[in-house]
Amino acid sequence: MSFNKVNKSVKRIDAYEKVTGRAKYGADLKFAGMLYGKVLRTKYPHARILKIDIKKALEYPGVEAVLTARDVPNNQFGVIIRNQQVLAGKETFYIGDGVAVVAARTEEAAERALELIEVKYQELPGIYDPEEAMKEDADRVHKELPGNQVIHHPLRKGDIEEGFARADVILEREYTTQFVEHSYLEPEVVIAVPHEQNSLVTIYGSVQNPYATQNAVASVLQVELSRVRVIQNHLGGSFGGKDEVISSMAARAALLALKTNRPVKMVNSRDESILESYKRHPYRMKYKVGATREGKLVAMEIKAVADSGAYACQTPFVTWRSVVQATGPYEVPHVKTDTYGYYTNNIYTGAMRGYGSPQVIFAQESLMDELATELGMDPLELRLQNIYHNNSITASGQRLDNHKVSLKEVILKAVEASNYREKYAEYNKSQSGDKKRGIGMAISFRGCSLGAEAVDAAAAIIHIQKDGSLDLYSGLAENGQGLKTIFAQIAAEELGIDLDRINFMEVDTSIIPDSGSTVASRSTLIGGNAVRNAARKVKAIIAEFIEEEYGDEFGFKAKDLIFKDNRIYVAEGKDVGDIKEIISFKEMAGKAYNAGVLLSAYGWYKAPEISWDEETGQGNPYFTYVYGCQIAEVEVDTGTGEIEVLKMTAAHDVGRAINPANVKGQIYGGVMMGLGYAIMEELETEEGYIRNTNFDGYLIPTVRDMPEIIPVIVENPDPVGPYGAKSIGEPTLELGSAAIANAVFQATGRRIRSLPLNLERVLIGHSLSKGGNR
Amino acid sequence: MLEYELLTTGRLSQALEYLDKLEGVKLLAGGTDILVDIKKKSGRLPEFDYLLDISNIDALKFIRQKNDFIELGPLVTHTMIINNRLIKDNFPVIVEAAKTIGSNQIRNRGTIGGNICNASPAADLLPPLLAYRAEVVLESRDSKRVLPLSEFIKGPYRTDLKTNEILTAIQVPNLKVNYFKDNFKDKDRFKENNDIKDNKETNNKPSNSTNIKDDNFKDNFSNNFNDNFDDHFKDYKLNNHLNLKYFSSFQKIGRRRAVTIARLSLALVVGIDAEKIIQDVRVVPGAATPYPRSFITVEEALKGRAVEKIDPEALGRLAAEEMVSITGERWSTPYKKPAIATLVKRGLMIVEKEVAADEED
Amino acid sequence: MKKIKVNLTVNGKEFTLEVGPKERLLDTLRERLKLTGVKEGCGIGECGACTVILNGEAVNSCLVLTGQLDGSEVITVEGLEVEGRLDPLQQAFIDHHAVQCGFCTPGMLMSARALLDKNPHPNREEIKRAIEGNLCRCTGYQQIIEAIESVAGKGEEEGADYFEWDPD
Ligand SMILES: Cc1cc2nc3c(=O)[nH]c(=O)nc-3n(C[C@H](O)[C@H](O)[C@H](O)COP(=O)(O)OP(=O)(O)OC[C@H]3O[C@@H](n4cnc5c(N)ncnc54)[C@H](O)[C@@H]3O)c2cc1C
Ligand code: FES
Ligand code: FES
Repeated sequence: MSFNKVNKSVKRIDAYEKVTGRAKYGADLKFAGMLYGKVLRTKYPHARILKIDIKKALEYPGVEAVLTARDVPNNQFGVIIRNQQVLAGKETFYIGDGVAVVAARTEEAAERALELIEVKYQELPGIYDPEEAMKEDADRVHKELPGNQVIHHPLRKGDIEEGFARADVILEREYTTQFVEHSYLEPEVVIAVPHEQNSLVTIYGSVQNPYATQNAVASVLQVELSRVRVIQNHLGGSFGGKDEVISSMAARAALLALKTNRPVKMVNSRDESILESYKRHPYRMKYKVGATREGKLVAMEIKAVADSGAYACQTPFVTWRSVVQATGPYEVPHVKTDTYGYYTNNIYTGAMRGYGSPQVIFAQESLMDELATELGMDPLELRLQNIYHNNSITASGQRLDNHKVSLKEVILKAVEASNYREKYAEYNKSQSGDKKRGIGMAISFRGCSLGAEAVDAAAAIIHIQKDGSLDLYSGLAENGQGLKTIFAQIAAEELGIDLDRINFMEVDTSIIPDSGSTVASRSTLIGGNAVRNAARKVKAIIAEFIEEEYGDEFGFKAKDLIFKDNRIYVAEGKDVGDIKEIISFKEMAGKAYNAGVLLSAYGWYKAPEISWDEETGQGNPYFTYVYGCQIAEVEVDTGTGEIEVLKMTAAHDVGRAINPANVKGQIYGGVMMGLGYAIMEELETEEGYIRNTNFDGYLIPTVRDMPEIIPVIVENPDPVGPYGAKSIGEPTLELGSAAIANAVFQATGRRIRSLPLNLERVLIGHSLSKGGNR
Repeated sequence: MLEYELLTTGRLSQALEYLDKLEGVKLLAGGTDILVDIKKKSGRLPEFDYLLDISNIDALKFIRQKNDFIELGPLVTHTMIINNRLIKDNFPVIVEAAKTIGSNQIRNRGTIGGNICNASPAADLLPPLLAYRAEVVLESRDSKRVLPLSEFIKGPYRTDLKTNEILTAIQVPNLKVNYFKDNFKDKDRFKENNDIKDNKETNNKPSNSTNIKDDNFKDNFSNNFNDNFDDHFKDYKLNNHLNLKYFSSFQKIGRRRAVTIARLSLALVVGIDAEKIIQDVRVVPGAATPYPRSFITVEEALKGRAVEKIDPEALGRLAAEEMVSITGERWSTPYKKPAIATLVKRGLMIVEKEVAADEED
Repeated sequence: MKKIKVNLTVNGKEFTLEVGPKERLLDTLRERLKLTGVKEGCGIGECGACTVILNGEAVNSCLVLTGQLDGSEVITVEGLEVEGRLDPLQQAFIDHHAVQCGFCTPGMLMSARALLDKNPHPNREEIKRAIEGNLCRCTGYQQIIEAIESVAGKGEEEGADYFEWDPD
């Protein structure tokens, strides 16, 4: 298949605004009469609020409003389970809980007012470890709930006892992962404008999921959805992170805006952002695997416990993705897994790029290498013996038969590009000096889109102006990943026009239907299909109109028309490619307008059917999967514990790359996040307090931490995806940690089962912290 | 909420005047420490009413060669250090350390004076400056004193700076001169041959009077001491000792590969004579102790040893022991012990290697 | 609170400002001069999103008080484009897909510009050192390096092109 606009590395359509500084992000917006909002946060992770006195704060010059939980019509919100408070009323559950909000004429006055609010707390003992939370007699984090369990996902396949009975080798290992901060470069911002254009309140800002925010605000205010309008702005990164935290911020800003009848802007500092925003779930995972002497997997038993922190947030879904991916892309006849989420008084956890997969992949791909060592096998050969092929049955009982299962191809391409076999042999020989090298790999299969989590559909609108230029609306949001460009490419491909004719509109909840969240690497697949659907509808209208106008004259039918190069042609002559122009796209638009033809269309796409049985964890949880393999080459300084990642090879089957340069950008960025996850990133908590609340303590990779990255794009078009495209955003970061840990093992002989692989773990085998060893 | 007034001036005299007249003045140079502390409402920051910006005092921005030392103005930025030939040729460890500081943006603003006066246990310029036995010049409106840096640093984030003083210069002595002064200045022969009087008293002593080096030393030696140093001592019987060759290194461990505070660092300077005997040695780790200082036990163990005879591994262990003897067992000790041992071992191995390579030339 | 009078040249235009003692260059640029291309990502010198060129050198505008800057000259991302002509670096960032969310982009461009002004043909290591203080969470830096290299490798003419508008 040959394309004109898709499958090409066209330039990003939002790049010009961004390189010139013109692009307006939330913090750049100003409205007449605008006030500044600030939040007073709790002093203690877990405390009873005995009294709040706002009198002095209210009297401070410039202060227009001070609100507490009492002023919140409905104080609980949440996408899955509604138990997150907008403002803490009686009790605080974690260190980021807001207690009061202030709106003032200047930011300084707002900050000063916060200091004048007097709150009396009674500090309460808290639960800071899910293992504690699990205990029968543990205090309950939320008294109204029967226990601390947020969720339990069981999965049962085959007979686990029998499986282990058949095993020649059984390994039991425990792995842990850490709290991780999204670290989008732009801290959260929300501006609530009251009574703008007939809406009760309009929300602007760094909103990842406009519909979730709209839902939350409407529910908090107890008003109808159509009265709350959310308009997205340029987003300075999100990675799953600007969802619930923005919802609560938007609700607070909206309350202040309605109270004062003036626009209210709230901008988080980095410290506030890290203190309040949800994190990636830390997991504690017990793995037991059984294999034959020849290296065939026969049984796997897993218990994974996720720390949900103070609120449920996305824990039920995050842990659900873990269930499906926990056993890795391997055929295992007997499987028993139990995945749990528990409430604690830690900072709450939610969606972050990868969503429940990076944790289990770290464990399970480390385990595969441990098993290989145990069996005396090459880790690559062990994997190749057990991986999924077409018609393999997954742990959840799904037969992989509706798309190309390309895992072997992906692995072999990565192996070749990284020179894995040679390097592996070389590094296995004894190395002199303190600096030792190693190479390691990790592989995965990943369900595309939401799967059985939620309704999976999205909308798009294409609206052609009378001069042939085009407005494109989507219900999914640009987060920085390049969605606008991808969608514009799809529209341009279908309609045969240039990208510069397409104006991509920011998401506006009052214009386009709820398309769910821009998550789960679903945009290209689901949203792209919606755009294609809209474009095809408009195209059909145009074709029909052209046929009516010129069909008789030139002797053609609507279906014979060719849309390309901003013109509409019809095939002529015998040779393929001989075409004759009928009309330019621009001229057509004018004519159609004058003839009263509607040149707009809604596109809608709903994902294919899936199934899931919560009791047994069996079903077809996703309608298609992507496959990836990453290989890390490292040099470990065994005298200091420093790790230098020398090279990362990342092979990913994306179905089809709508924009290869963009896919590479996703790979580079994902590899970087995986690297940070593996060796340096960790939110340090102690009894619910957070120690590193800015980038001086929370370290993310700099340019000098980045190795050479070899991206390998594998294309096996999917029958469902637009032009065969699937996903790329998330698979890129889920593999790095295990690949690096495996490489470090080869280099040093030291197996590290906890992330991150920091200086201490590498040098002395365990981490250190001021509060003692964790 | 912190309230203060910002005072600006382009003249040192006026700055000193402000300090003399006003109470509660805090100095602002590049701001890369203090503005962060203000933003974070750091508990380390004392209360103050005035922030006195000295960043525009051009008279404090210089790097110059004096007879037996190189003098840096406190406003010299890390970038200026990195780009300066004089420092690079004479005191490479300072340059190596400056290169590891923060980012380009930080190095463009952050100053040597700020790095010293902030006195962080992890301040990267402190180990090399201490290793080179730097001295600081402190001025107030009415007085001026010179102090070894090792005496100026009083503790973590603590210095001997008086509330009316500004650090106005950092003097890094020529290695050989310094070595000589440390070891032989009171030897009879030296006195005879060079006719220097009372140098012993004036040297190394905190003094409010004048800069001894500029006056006495210059006159008594030659106008171009550095160049003629070896000539001067041609016939001196300890010439062999004085004809030292210096080898040095800076190492830093961080949690990532750039923009990272030292988890541990080491400045090592070793001077060997023609017989390859270590005559002069300075071992100064950073972030190992509450404030950086010479590891004397290790230095003593190295002094007088032939380079080929040293056991880097054992000396590394010795350094680890010395560290623990200073700090006691702290939460970070289990990591820092083996890590400091590595740095010392490696630093010495680098010296061994360079000495060997030097021989071949 | 006593105000300080400051003469400042920003993107070639002169301003006389009365600023308070806490006002950071970042605030002056964003709030007063409406140059919102300058971003704030951390406020403590760690992220580089606020990078501008101050008297020829890349600095974090969050760690400079405007009161310190009398007589200084500042260039922000808005000053790179001259009469609708993009700086070659801006064009290269577009061409090489060096932009994702774009929040780090203005600071990244200023660090790169400051580098090329001093050293028109830096090697890869020098490029990395110049942008080591500019965090980017999206791109993994690869395409940013490629973009800068593409301009760095272009030789004198391109450099000269840029210098035309240099306010000096
Ligand atoms: C992102 C970042 C990264 C950093 N990385 C490093 C690093 O890797 N290594 C490192 O060592 N440091 C690092 N620092 C700290 C800092 O940059 C350096 O210590 C710098 O040298 C401080 O100089 P300054 O001029 O900015 O000091 P300022 O902040 O202006 O002053 C610091 C202190 O010194 C006092 N002071 C300054 N000048 C004088 C003077 N002449 N006389 C008397 N007192 C004076 C001030 O009153 C203040 O108390 C980093 C800082 C940041 C923000
Ligand atoms: S905002 Fe200035 S460096 Fe981050
Ligand atoms: S493009 Fe998003 S931070 Fe760099």
